[in-house]
Amino acid sequence: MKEVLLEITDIKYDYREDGEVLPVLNEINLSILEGEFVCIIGPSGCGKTTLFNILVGLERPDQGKIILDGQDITCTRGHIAYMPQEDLLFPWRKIMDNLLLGVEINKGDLKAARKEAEGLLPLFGLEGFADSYPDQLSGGMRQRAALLRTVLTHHSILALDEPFGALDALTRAKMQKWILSIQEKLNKTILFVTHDIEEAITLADRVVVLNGRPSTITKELKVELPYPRQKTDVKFIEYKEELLERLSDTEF
Amino acid sequence: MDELKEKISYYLPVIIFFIITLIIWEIIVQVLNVESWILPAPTAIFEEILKTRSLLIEHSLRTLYESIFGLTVSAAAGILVGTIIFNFRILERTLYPLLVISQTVPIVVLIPLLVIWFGFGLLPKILIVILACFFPVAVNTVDGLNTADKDKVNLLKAMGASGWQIFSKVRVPSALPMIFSGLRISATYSVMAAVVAEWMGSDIGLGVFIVRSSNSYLTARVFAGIVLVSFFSIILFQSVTLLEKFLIPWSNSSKEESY
Repeated sequence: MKEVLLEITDIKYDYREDGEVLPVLNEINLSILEGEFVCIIGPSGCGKTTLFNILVGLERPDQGKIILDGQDITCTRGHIAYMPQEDLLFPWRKIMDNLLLGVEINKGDLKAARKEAEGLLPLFGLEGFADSYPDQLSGGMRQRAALLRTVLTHHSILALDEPFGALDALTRAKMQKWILSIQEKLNKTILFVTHDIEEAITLADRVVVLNGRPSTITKELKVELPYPRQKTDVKFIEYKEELLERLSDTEF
Repeated sequence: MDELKEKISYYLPVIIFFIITLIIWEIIVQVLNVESWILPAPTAIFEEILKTRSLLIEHSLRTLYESIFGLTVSAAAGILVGTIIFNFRILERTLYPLLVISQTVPIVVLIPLLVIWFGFGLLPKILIVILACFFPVAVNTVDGLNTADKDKVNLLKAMGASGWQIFSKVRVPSALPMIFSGLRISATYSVMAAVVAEWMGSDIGLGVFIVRSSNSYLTARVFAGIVLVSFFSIILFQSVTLLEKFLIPWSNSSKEESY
């Protein structure tokens, strides 16, 4: 049995503006095992991004705790590797300097990190692009560079917020295949937000549905299919219908 | 080589238009026999430039000195003050509006005051240049520092970055393009400000040269002065652009499609 790495306990968050209170998240409880690939799906505006902001310490929850490896990390930053929706590569930095950003911030060993990054470039399909500017890269490459930047922060958990949302279908399929191979090689725990049901089933060990107002976890689904998963598989379609049903019956 | 070709073809229309204008000007002056003290022909202006070159160089050096010195001080002070204003919220609400209001006072009316306080020497000229050039840099620095992408700031925060790290690694690079557009505006102001300052009282400089020539109805000389003033303005403008290309190379790296 794998150990629990990250525990999200009873998170509640209200959005406040001009004296009005809009409940966003309520009673969010989730345990993530070491090495697990968990996808969070939900309709847009369900608070997926807010949940991530709470995880990485950008927002303060009104209630609840984030526990990583037995340590309370609520409201503290720099424990979880975070990759936002856009790649957010800095246009003024060459790819290599973008990759080392996290190490630079944490005042880590730049020399060692550079070596490590160079070693990982081929795996991320970025060989020969270390000295390019982000503008010179395609969407898929930029996304992989952003992911490598996230990986190089050396946190055990990668929190990825719709990382492939902006990519075209073909690139997206390639990236999905690729991220699975990466996870296997690097042995990371991945928390992956998406609004694409098929993407979630293709990738995850477990799919978590977040919806309602305020949002809460309305379903957890263990995907018991061997990789690579086929979209035409009967079981795949069953999962898809199950999730679709759960996602649509709480709308409005 | 291709880049050069591209540049030439880009500027070709304006060059041709400019030459045609000069030719029409020349023809009109020749055909209508316009008196040279009213409107000298382009060739006459060119001759005048050659003839008075040693005098022009002497006056130009002074004007250039005032412009470049004033511009440099303005750039440094503008960036510094802009950065301070950005970092202290209270200043953004006190000093910043005052800065804007100060720009509603025409610089020309300040020149007599500066002459009273500082005389006819170099200092009041440089002060005028600074008054003209400081504002665009300072304001663009404040605005530039404010343009930093919120998501990038949040990304660094999530990584655990300190306030200084966020400032130096996101805010400053994000601000550079705007700071440079402020600097370009200032560069075009600088020569003009120096000339206007000299106009009001000086013994050397292109401003004085133009006034004196105009008083003696040496109109070709007036034009010679004007040509040099705009030439120097363009040179300063281009120098800033060149510096920008050198300092922020990412903004002009070409896009390539590749997977």
